[in-house]
Amino acid sequence: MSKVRNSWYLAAAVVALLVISFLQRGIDPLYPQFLPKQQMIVKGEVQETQLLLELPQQFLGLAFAGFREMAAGLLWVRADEFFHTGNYEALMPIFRMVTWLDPHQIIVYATGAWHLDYNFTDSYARSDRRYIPASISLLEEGIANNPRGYELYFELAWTHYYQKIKDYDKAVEWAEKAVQLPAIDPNTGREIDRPLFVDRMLAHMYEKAGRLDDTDRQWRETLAKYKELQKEDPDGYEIGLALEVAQRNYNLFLMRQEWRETDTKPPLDAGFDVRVKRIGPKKLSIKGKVNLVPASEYKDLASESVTNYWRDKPEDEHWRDGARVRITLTDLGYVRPKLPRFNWEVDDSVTVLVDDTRIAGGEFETIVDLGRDPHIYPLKAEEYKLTLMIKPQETPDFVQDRIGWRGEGLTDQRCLDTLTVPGHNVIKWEKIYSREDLL
Amino acid sequence: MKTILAIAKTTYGEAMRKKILNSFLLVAIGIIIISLSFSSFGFQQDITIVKAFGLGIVGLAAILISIIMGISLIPNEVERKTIYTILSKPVRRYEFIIGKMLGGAATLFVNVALMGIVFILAATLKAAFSTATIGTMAGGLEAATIKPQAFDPGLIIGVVMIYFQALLLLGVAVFFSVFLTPTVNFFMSGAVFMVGSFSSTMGSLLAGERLSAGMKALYKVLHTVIPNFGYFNIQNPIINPEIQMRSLPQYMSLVIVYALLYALVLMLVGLYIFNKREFE
Repeated sequence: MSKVRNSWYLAAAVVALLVISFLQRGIDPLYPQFLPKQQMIVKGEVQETQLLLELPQQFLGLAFAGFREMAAGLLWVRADEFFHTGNYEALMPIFRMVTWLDPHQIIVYATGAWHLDYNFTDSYARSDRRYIPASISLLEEGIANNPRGYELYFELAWTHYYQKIKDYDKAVEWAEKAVQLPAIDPNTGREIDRPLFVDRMLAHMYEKAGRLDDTDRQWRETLAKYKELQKEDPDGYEIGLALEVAQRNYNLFLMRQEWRETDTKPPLDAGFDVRVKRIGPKKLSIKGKVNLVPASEYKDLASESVTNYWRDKPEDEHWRDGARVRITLTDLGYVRPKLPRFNWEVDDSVTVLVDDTRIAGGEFETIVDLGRDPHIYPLKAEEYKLTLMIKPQETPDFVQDRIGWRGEGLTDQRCLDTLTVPGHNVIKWEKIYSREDLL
Repeated sequence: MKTILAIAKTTYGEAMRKKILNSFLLVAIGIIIISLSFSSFGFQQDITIVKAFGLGIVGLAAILISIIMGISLIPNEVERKTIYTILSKPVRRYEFIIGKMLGGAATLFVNVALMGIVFILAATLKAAFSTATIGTMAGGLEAATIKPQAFDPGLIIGVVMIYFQALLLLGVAVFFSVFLTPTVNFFMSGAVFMVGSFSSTMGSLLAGERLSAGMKALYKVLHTVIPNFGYFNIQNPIINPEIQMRSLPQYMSLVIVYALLYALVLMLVGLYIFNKREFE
């Protein structure tokens, strides 16, 4: 082999390398779309981050070698094992690592947020509310990374704001975004119709928020959509059922709208009366009375002609029970923080208790025991605020029939509050306690 | 050409008979089938795990097969002294190298194709016999069930990309095998693969503020000189249905040409070194 001819190989290699570097100019701009797009909510804004650099070293190798999705899948299998064995504490680091490795697994965000909201509980099965900011933050990060489908928007609206926090305005805000979006086929990624209940639940959320015009509009739009879908599938069970449920609920809404116009007058005096007594270290007895709502109040209501509640009520049952008093005990001045970025570590110096108790026969009674869970209720602040509240939004429909969606049929000489939920009449009782009072 | 094909055919036959390669293939296929038994919180997560695990295993097995086959293709001939017989016949050295490379590529193709078929079949069956429940984690809403589309064409794309990634790695291993012992070559090829895969995240790292200017310059050089194995890692949008891919045909064409050209460069430089070696 002549030296000259052999050199041609090198020359050809150099030429090929030049072509390769030219090719790279075409590849490099297209490539980033195939990498997991890593975004976080930082101080309320979506920002690109270097999450990979935050990974533990053992996963860095896998991630860089192109096996990050496999590592994420294996971690998720491990998370499932922890979940089923009740090892909840170990789950959050795994959720975090999975979302670092692959921020497009939406079920991990949904499950992680649900876990934070519901599964850290005290001895009385009350959830540790200090995790709620982390839960919201995790879902917002999930939405930033996966904005295409309705799922995480609805998850945040329904599971968290509507069900857990009962902040109906925020629930509406996120559900309105969800109804603009399709579902994504979980196998192939093609866009498909979102579940039928999404549109229907937005109407319920509007109603809970007391936005009656929006409720009416959303029911009409939902019914029109369902009717169109039924034309495509006249014998479909799911669409048939959805249409029936929507029609029934809309009719009920219209009836209530008409009834409540008159049934909420004159306003009912709740006569809210609260007695709190310390019955032991970190233990409070809470009792009270509230005029919400005796059967006699139904006697002349417009709704009585349909519900016959007063007519059918046995003489020894004088109350329509079912509403609940919400009890919160927090450090004085506590406001649920908005996390600058997702972090599941809670501030263990903060005390936040949220509970509720049922009103039966115009009375309520409960014991709040903070002593059995000092890690959740550390009582390190100097002062605390105990709040007892009845929000008409949170009362059952049959109670709302008398007091209205927004408490327009409700008043109280001592405890009426119109500031907590603007535009709503809320019954609210507050008292400040010192640390010594509770210990 | 006839000579090249004859060498390729012999190489293919020998490689396919190698027990170690067959065992990788069988283990990979077994793991893919076992991954079907993963059950998590619902269809979406199950299929994500099956896809992530399947593509990961096919990729990992392809990498191991490439390296283990590539490091021994030429040294075996030297060790058995058959290279003297071959090169004493009217076989040119470039014909020998090209034939070896083509035989290796064919072996790799059959292995990846077999694993790919099993994997795609497994994922398709999983989807075909499942219904996906979509709804919320809590709150008592009735779940909506949908029938997911069973066959995901994206999986074929994933397997094709794995093949070309492994082919490029085979080129690296064959190149090193011209002048390194198999043991040293094993680690060298593995190291090049790691650095080349690392190159894929270089873009985002370069944008970070944690790296010094010197490190950034080093990464830039590596990005140009080391074959970029990260280009072939496009599993994320395949595994996660949320993400939409754009300009995929254009991207795939460019990357496949990139793999073939890079393998050619490695072969040319390998030939240059091989021609300088004395076999007496």
